Amino acid sequence: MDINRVSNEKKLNLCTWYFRAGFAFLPFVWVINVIWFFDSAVRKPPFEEQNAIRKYVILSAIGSFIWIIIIATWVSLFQANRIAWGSWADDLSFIIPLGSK
Amino acid sequence: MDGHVSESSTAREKPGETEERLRKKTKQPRERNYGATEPALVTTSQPEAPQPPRRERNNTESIDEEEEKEILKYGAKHVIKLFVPVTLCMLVVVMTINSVSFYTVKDVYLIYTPFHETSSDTSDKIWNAIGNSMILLVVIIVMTFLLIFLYKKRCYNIIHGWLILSSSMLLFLFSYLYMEEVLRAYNIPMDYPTALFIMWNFGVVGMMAIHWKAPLRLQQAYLIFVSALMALVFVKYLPEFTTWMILAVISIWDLVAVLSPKGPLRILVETAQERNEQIFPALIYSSTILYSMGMATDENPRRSVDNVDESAGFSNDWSNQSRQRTQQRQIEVQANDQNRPTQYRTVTRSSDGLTDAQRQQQQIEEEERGIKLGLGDFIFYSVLVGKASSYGDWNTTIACFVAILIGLCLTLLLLAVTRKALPALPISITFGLFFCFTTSIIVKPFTETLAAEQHYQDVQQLTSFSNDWSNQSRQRTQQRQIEVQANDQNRPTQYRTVTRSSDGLTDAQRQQQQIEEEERGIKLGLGDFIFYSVLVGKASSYGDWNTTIACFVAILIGLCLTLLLLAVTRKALPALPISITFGLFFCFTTSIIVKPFTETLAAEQVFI
Repeated sequence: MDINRVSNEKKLNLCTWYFRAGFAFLPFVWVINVIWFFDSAVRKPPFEEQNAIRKYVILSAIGSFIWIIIIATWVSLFQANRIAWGSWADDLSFIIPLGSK
Repeated sequence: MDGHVSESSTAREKPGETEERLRKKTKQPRERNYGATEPALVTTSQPEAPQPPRRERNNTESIDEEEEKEILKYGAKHVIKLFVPVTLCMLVVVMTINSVSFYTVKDVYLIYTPFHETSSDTSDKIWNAIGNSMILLVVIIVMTFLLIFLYKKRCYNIIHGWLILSSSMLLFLFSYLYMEEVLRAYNIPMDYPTALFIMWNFGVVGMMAIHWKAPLRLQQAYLIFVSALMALVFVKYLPEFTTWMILAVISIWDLVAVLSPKGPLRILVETAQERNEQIFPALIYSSTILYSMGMATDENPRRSVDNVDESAGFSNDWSNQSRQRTQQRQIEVQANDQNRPTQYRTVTRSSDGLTDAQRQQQQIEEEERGIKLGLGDFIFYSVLVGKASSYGDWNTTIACFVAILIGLCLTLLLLAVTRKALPALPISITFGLFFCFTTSIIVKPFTETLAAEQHYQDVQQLTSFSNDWSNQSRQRTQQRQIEVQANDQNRPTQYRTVTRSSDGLTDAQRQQQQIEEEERGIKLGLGDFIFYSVLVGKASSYGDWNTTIACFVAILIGLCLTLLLLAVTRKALPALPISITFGLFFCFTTSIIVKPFTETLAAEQVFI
């Protein structure tokens, strides 16, 4: 749907729902929220709901950033120490790579 | 499951509506800027007026010409808008099949294909294939009629609930398996928490994009991915001959179901028309945004994607899938109906003497519909190309790809002419199958022989290249002159427009000029085409695909840069230098550096 053709109330509604949805361990939804509503929040001339949308976009951006840090930390730790951690890391592994000859 | 192509552009309007559409033409600058046909010279000179006044009808002739141009213009743009997603879908399937061996390994089959083509006798295999196809066709027919029954009884909740169930299965389960196989193929370690987290995010956002509201590109991307997944499942779980047979059978069924008066999809179309309903805007790939302003109240963008069983035990999934497939078709048909009721309504409304604003609104609805193509079409196109690529021969794969695009083009052309719902599968699949088999039977041994014999001719060809080049220089200069003249045609217009707009013309006349400007498009001299093709053809005559594709890419990059320069400098530019320079450079570096490198790599792999 074209976000520019939707009324401002609907935009605010969508933004709000996307923001709330992101709390269910869904940083991807927050990222989409930021990207999709960035124009409306920042670049468009001021309209009534812009402050609320801006608030949600900023909060979503902060949330996604936090999640990115968490995920990056965990992935790098795991990949680096997977072998050193022994058997419980193997239990945690979805794919264990095959060795090379 | 095939789908039909639904035409939703304004080119399909009845003649009476064209006037209004023309008046509204200047209103949607964004709509016009879709696609690749915008003139590079004049895009910056258009104002983005949101409320254009009505343009006076100066004379019938110019209106007719513009109508014609409009029809063609929308047709070409929409063809391109469909080419891109179809190509992307096929690309995903081909890349996966070539890199992940899981999808070419035949271990388990579905319960709907009980004949596994295990005997070595060809006629037995063909009988198996026919048997399997008939079973699948019967399942599909049953499911189609079931869906029509449900639709006629207005059991929308059942349909929607089932669509949500199937699409969630596809988005979660089959994407999970896909991810697992891809990671395994590339030997990348992954832990459960991360994997589940990724799948959770991917799946939920997919559900939101498909069934609720999300950015259009995201929705399109998910639809493409989901179609590619389905196609991969088909390629994996159907035995060899059955796949080909199923493609042919489905195309024929599509033809029958959509066009014959008793066909289920036709019945669905008519029912939806009677009810003036907009149902299942999902399950269709839509190239533009759908608006439901003033349209049917039912706004249920549900999408169902086919699930295919992974093992023989999931018979429910398969039936769900077939139901989905039929639903897909029906959804396409219904999407068509969305367009046609709109047309009818517009016709009646315009005779009601509505206000301008309301008529404008209707036309916004109509114009922004774009082309719709059913997901079943994506799936079966990708199955065809995927199957062709699983044999390992790039000639066949690319031949199939080109054939499908040509078929799609022809279908859209037919759509523009006949203006009713059309099945999108038959023409493309016929061309695709034909090209596929003729290429593998005729072209492949031919190119292999040529490649084997070329080892001794390389050096001679390189030296003769320069002689041909000097012979062609006179032609080149002539063609360049033609280009410059063609570009000059553009420049006078530009100048004329600049002076006219400062004359204080009426809005009507200015709009007319803008329409003239818009429709100029980009001009490229035929000499450019000829010499680009000479370059690529020469590169391909060495038999090395790397060089050919490198040249092709280089030429496109050069063309891109040239057009960029054109947009900046706004005067006639030679189109050859940049592209040919890049092309020659890439061609020779590839053949001198990359080719021995890949050959060594390939040779060493034999002993691993």
